[in-house]
Amino acid sequence: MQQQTSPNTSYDFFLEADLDKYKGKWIIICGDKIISQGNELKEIVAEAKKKCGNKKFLIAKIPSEETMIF
Amino acid sequence: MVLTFKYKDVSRSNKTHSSSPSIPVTLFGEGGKYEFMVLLDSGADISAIPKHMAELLNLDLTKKEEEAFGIGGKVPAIPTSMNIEINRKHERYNFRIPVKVILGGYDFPPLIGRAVFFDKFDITFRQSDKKVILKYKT
Repeated sequence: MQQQTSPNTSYDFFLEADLDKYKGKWIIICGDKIISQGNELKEIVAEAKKKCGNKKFLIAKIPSEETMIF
Repeated sequence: MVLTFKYKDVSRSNKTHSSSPSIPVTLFGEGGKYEFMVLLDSGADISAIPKHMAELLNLDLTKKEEEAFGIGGKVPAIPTSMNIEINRKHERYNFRIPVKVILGGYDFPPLIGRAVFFDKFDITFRQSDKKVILKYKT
């Protein structure tokens, strides 16, 4: 059986959102909102834990144009 | 079970678009359990993550530093491993994969390379449909 995967709303939001303005940044999505963004991963995760409470959140790095893949 | 994920569209400054086969996974180590978008990289022998992500997960970074090679040249790296989980409704696939932690201040999206992960799934990249399909190998 083939199943279209949409694990949660954070993932759906990630797929649909225009994230251009976050290029080069880490972002954290909780539900249908970006609740934290920046360059320091530990800092934005700490912020997300306060804002998102016990809910699951999704972390993504938005690559910049210059990102070199190893 | 077959898992299908859509590519993520990314716009470029020259007004073109590209798409990437990114999927949501849970990564965990001693430091906790976090859901990340990761890029499936069939061209990479092994997975790679930046150092501050390894620190967040509190991965073991005690092994000897070595070099990782790629089209970007060679970079310092520490070999280690991490747990990865794909969780979908009643399905849960959880295993441990080797990963190179890239040092030197490089920051990039987590890359899931072929070692172990691509052995666990039959993976089909449907470029024209902008989908990637994972079928767990039983």
